Amino acid sequence: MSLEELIQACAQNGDAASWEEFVRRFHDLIAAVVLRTAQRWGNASPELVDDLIQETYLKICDDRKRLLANFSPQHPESFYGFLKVITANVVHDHFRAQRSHKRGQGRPETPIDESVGGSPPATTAGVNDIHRGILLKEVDKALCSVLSGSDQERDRKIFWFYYRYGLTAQAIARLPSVSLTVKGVESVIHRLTRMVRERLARGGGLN
Amino acid sequence: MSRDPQSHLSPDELAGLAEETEPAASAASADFDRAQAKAHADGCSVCGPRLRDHRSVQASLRSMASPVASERTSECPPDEEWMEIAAGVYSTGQSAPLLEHASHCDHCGHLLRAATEDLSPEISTEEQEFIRRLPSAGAGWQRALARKMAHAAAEGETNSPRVSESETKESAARETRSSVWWSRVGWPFASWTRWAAPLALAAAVGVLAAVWIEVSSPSLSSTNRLIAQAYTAQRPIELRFPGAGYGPVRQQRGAQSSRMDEPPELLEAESEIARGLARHPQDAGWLQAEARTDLLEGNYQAAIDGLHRGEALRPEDDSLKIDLATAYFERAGTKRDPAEQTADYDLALHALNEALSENPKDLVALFNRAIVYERRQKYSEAIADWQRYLQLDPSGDWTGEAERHLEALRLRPVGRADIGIRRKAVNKAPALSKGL
Repeated sequence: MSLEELIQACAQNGDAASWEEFVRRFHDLIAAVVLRTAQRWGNASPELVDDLIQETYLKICDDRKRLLANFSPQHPESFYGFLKVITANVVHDHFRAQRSHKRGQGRPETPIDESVGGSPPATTAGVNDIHRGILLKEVDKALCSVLSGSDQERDRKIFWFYYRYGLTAQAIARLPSVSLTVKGVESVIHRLTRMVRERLARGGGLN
Repeated sequence: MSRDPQSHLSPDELAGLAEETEPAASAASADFDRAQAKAHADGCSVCGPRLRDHRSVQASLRSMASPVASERTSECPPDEEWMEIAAGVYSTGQSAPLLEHASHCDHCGHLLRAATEDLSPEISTEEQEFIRRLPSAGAGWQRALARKMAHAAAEGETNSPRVSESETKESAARETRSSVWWSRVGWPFASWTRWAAPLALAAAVGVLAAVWIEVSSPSLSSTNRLIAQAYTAQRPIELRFPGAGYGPVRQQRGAQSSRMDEPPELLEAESEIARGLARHPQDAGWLQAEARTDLLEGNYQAAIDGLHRGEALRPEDDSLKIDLATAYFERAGTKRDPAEQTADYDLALHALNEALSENPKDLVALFNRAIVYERRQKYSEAIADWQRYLQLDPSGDWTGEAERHLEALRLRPVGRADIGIRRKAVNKAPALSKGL
């Protein structure tokens, strides 16, 4: 059964055999997104992950008319994206609801990323922020001076996604509007890094 | 070729040494002798300071990473947008201004990175292992959930009850066809009672249509159950089928067998398979069911062809590999040329090794591999598999047969090659030949 036929069968008839095939075919994708998103919130026990996987399927079933609306035979990969977003939203909603419940009891809960390291003392944070702000400006100035060609806006974004936010070359290559392979992204990062470093080192390094 | 120790570092050498610890540096720095370049930089008053400057700048670039997300600003789009971008749902035009914003926003840049990590299509080995061990990865759990989804879709429910452990076990175990039939047919009756009198006739027609569709549309699970029953009833092959209950080996079905002697379950299964394949000719499940009936009837080449087609459609399905191994094993038994026979046994071993590498505790694959090892006269491997099997399943329906195999191997006289001689000892149950 093709993906299109399966989605049509689930959205229109919704018989058990079609749903069983749907669950079988998308289980790994949905389970992986549930697992990672739950890990981000700090609780990925097998029991909870299974509960959230089930919650996701039931939500998909409730919204089954949207399955067809979000499927395009020309771009079947967008359907996988649609499923990923539904899944991640189910997990985030679960933990947010839990957090608001706990807040009522005086126990806030946040994703691990939001709570890493806690908050440093205000004065230290302020000095660090100022230093970092100066560094970013100096590097951006050097970066702009070495960029050229029609792709300079794209290349600038690639540079910052890599150094400022830690996106991997694989993740950057998958972003819409980048339109490069992983190798292509690595090449841009390497070329710009080298040019920026030479520019800054020639000026005696950074303050 | 070694570098001239007196010449200053080239731009490539300088970059290579400055980026030594960078993950993306390897390609550019692979073409020079690192140790010699380093030795030169250590002793050169020009290159040493240059390299230090480059390394210092490189460290500064690394330190730009924002350690924590900042507060959102009024310019930030809703947080959910980053998931849509990372999932590839947004078009290039929609995402371009958002990505421009994220490239310099310490709130949104973090969210974008988190979304790309969470929604990445690559699943690591550790994640695969975790997912494989979840109860929801089991066929029984998935079947039970599918039924609930179908029921919820029919009823228009928004809050469906969860799949319980007992339901999962129940689905994994044998299901009675009638219970499935009645649960599906029962729904229209329940709804019918709520309908107003003028619609009663239409409801009755709907119910009859539902019954007709149910009766005329074979279910793959019920067909596989029939095949498993046919296997258990007469067990014409030594290797096991996934999902089939224990039965002693009774006969070898051959070309001379008559269809009149086939178990009624097998005939019924064949009829369902013909209808199933007519509706879903490219469905791996129906192809597998047909291959299993071919195996039970001794049509090993047809079984192999069908299982290969199924495997192409569903390459990750271990049950297809296990069945394919059985088909090769049985075909080996028909070969007169020892080399061809060995080749088929090795193909069977290869398929079972693949299945066991995915799931080392698969009892059916382990049981079958032990027998194939015996037939290949790899007795120490066979003993190891039987021991492992008995550790994993010390009191199951198939345990007695596994113990008898192990005992026969341990009592095997040194140098005696033909393990098949001891099959009488293995199958203590009397062979109920029906003259096939």
